[in-house]
Amino acid sequence: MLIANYIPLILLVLVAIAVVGGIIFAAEFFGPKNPTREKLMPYESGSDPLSEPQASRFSVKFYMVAISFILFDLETVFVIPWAMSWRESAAMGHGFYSFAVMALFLAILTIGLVYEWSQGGLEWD
Amino acid sequence: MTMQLLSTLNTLAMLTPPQGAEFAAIVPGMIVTLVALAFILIDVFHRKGTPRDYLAYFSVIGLGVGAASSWYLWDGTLEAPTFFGMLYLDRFALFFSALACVSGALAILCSPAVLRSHRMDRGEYYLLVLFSVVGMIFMAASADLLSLFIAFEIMSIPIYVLAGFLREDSRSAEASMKYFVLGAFSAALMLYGIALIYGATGTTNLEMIAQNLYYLEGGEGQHAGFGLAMLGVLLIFSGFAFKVAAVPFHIWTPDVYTGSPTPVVGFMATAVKAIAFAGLLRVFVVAFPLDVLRGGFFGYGWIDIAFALAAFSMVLGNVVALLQNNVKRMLAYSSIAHAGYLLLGFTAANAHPRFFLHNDAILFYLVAYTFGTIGSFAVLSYFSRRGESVETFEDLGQLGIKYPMMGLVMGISIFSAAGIPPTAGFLGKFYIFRSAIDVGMQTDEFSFIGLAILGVLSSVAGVYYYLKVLIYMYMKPEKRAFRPLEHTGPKVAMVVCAVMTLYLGIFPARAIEITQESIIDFQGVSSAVQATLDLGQQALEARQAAE
Repeated sequence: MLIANYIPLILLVLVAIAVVGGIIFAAEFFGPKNPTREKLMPYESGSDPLSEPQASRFSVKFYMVAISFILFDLETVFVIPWAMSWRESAAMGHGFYSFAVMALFLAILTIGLVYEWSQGGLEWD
Repeated sequence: MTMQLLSTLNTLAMLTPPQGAEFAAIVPGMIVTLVALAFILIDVFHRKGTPRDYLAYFSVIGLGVGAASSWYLWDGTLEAPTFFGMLYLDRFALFFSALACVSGALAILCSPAVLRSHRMDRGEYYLLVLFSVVGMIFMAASADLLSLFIAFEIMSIPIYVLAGFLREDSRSAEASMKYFVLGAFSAALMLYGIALIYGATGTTNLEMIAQNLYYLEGGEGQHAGFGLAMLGVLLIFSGFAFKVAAVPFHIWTPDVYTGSPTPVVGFMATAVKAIAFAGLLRVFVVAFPLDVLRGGFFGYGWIDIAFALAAFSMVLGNVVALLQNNVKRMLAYSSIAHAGYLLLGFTAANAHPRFFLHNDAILFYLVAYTFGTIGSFAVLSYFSRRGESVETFEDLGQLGIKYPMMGLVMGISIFSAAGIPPTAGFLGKFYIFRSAIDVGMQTDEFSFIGLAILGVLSSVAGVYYYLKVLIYMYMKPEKRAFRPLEHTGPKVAMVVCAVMTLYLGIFPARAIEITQESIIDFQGVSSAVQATLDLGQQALEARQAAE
């Protein structure tokens, strides 16, 4: 185990510390300061993180939106690399196979969408 | 450089379709998946206010087709893992996929009336059972820790939801929450174990893990990575021990069994336990066959862990069950005791490669246990009163006399669970204890015989609480009147369970042959075990030729 092997890692750690420290330092010394209540709150998607749970009840529909979002976000995460590599796979003669696999995946997701729609998950009220 | 080469190869592998024959490996899982997807589409067009019985029957038929597909694939198994080392197609996997399908189908048959009596007649229930079965099928077949873990989660998450399906019942919600929190924690431990194994060996494929561990252990003394692997083995074992409800990991069992809807309890007591044993066998036999990791008779390997867990589960399960006055709770502790017997069989059969064929006792026990347990839960879920199911012993008063059929089914199931002939449970226990004693005699190690004696003694203690059910059903006065939920589904399930329990107890030859074939066709094992399997294959062929 040679220390020399870890020099890039050590450099990375040092640079990371320097950059973060520098930004905090610069913001502290050069930034204008006119604090408001919202600015001083921890970032929590706009809701107050330090309140009684009963005081900040919000609709379960937010969860529906969030879950749908994750679902279709992941769909893009799958589809984009597939689209990028489809040409290679077509060049190897497996274009139809590749297409069929993705079509299957999208079909399954579509069934999920149909279900969500029928259960009223896409309606706000 | 090597990393780049590997990633290129990996990309090429992903772009290349598997061989045509390999697709057979996903046929049972695919059938159940398609049934589930079709189910969603049918349920979308379901007319509100009408019963969903036809959907239940549809899923039962789908699961039946899934089980039948294992039968058709029985003679077409493959030696090498399919889908780039992800899934096995062997009789062991097919056996468990059929068992999962049957268990799911029986649980679904019991469900419609129960759900309606709780005003929770929703299609999602059956859908979740179907998805859970899909996970089980892939878990029994997995040849890679990643596919195993994904299947494990596909199996578990629907069951967390099913446990809390009666959402207006606070106990059901409590059961779901407890099961989910503890289950997620144990899954995290297991995943940590998988990560450690990956860190030590650089692969997640079970056979390659075995190979790399062999190199790590040999050569220049013990490599530092080997210690990581040992910790990983321990963590993975604890993940499985949670699912089979073996003793230090059993805390969730009584509460979850009491709160969950009764048919779901039948499903998770049987199928989940069976599939967890399938995964346990697959992972530990294929990936960790090294003697250092295996241990045995207190060499502190996974055999010794299983040994300790078996002893504790048998004793604690049976002793605490004596004190229960809730039947579901009693059955929960009894299922812990059953996990102990199964672990006893596991310990004995895997103590040395030459005893590997004794694993057929575990498989037979699981089949016997599945029918017996679902039978008793089907009877419990059949009776209800204002949306409450039968729960305490007192609730059972006189039910056996008022409803002789139900009493008969309960009697058969209870006799099977207690291990009284001529039921399947008796033969299951007999084979497990016989294999332990056989191994003990051949190795001259008292440990296995001692454990078998402990098992027999604790199962004798178990007879007391099992027979208490029958005493209440026939001899005690009625405290509160329960009415049966008139429905054909549970009746069919009960008849199937009772008939199968008796059939397996009286004519076990065919079932034993199937379990032996499943064990002999177990793929991915080390060469020492393979030699045992070849001997078993020859013996089986000789016997079949003689008939």
